[in-house]
Amino acid sequence: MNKQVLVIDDEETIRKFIKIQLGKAGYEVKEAADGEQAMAQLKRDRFDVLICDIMMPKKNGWEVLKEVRLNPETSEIPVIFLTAKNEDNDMSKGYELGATYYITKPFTKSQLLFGLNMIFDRKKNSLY
Amino acid sequence: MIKEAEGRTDALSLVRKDGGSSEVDLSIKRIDLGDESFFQMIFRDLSDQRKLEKKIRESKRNLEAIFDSIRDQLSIRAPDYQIQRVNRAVIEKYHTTFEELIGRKCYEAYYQRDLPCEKCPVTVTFETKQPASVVQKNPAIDSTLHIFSYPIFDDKGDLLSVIEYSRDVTEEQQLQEQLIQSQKLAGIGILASGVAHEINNPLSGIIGMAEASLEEEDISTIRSYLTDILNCGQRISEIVKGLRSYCRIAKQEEQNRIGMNDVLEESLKMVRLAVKTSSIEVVKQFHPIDKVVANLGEIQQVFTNLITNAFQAMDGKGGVLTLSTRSLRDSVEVKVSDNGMGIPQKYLSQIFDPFFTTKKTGEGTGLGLNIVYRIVTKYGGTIDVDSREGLGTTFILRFPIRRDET
Repeated sequence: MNKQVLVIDDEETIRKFIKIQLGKAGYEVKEAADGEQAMAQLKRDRFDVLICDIMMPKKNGWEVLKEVRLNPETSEIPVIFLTAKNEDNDMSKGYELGATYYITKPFTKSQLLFGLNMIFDRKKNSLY
Repeated sequence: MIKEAEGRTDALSLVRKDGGSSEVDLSIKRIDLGDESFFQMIFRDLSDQRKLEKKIRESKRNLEAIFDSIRDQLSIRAPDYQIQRVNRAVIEKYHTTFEELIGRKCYEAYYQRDLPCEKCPVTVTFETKQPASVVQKNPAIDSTLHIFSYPIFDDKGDLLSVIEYSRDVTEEQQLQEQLIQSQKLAGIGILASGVAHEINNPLSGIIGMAEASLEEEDISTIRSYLTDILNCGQRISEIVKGLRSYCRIAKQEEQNRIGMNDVLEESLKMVRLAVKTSSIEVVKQFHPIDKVVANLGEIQQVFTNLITNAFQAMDGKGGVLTLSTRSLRDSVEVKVSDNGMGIPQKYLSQIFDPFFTTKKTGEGTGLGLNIVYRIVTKYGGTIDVDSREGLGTTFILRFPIRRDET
């Protein structure tokens, strides 16, 4: 079965092109326009990876990540942060909170695929 | 003396019985009584008088030493502006001598003028018999001076002369301008990272959709991708346009007639770019108001600082930002109000102090409100704060207007 991806970003065009590109790469992509929508989606569906913006209305990326990590049902889901804030302390804050990978905007298709491949190859190669 | 039969001498040193010596003055008078003549000799002990004179001399020297050791400039003026006395600091400041200054009119000696200076506090004190002060530049010595004047009265309560005390505040003023400038730069830093965020989003869209277009064969799909690219491009251009209006940094000295409603509107736009916060509703209650003469950049700085604080105070929960303006009798009132976390009572007295901040390191410099205060008071305005913990904060600014210039 195809990997299930949830893209959380308030920027419609970004969600659109991620969906196009990941669709071509064989992923199944669903969208959420803010943190609250994402939490609702997570209750409904099961996802293999989250691609999540940080600065969003209603519920920001940090808050989404915290909730995801606290819920035993979602705590293991890899999270890729997408952010326009290209600052070192943001990045380390992201990793401290349990982000799996970090991509700064603007980014290209290959940066996105590189992140995803790394996550899933690592899972495939791990001993358990 | 006895030969001449009459006379007087002072400072005669006599040895007393106890071995000590006393200074006396002696007066001798010849008194003729018939054939006989007598001499009347009166010795007057001068010890007490000498002690008193010594005390007066010492106290005079002390006062002179104090007068001269004060590094700020002190001088005493007669009612006709004649310089009666100056301390050493004046001599050093103006590279002159006591002889050159004493007796001259102050406006001639210090400012090379024929008439008293316009805003001279000494004039005010002569007229009102009250202390006065002014800050003014003296181009002759390339300094900014804070001048105070205090009245001296005679026994009858008439004005005898005026003490003028003047302090060189050139460096202080330069520091203050640097402080305002550095806070502005810090503000631009925050703005820049906010703008980077705003631009990077549509830029990601452009790059992503362009990549997708390159891989796409179907012309109608490509067209729809191009529309997305165009939209993103237009958004970036809007942001850049907004930035340009903000960066039109008016020169420090330049003052214009400013419509506060417009400046509030522009400042709000900028802060929205810089500080992305969750759902904040903005209520505007703008009334037609008189223009205020001020430096545009500084007024923008005041409003962006206050609006940024308001946004940060409501961060997390969202809230309502209310911006309102109205005309009062001789001033314009601007209120910036939020329903955020409020300022704890114990901090209220300190919020305008420089470097006072409750924000985390890196998030606040502690200069924002201090700069706001400095700028508002610079234009003769006032700023008041009304804050309840948990309910919100309102800053009330009043700027005086000069109707004669309309």
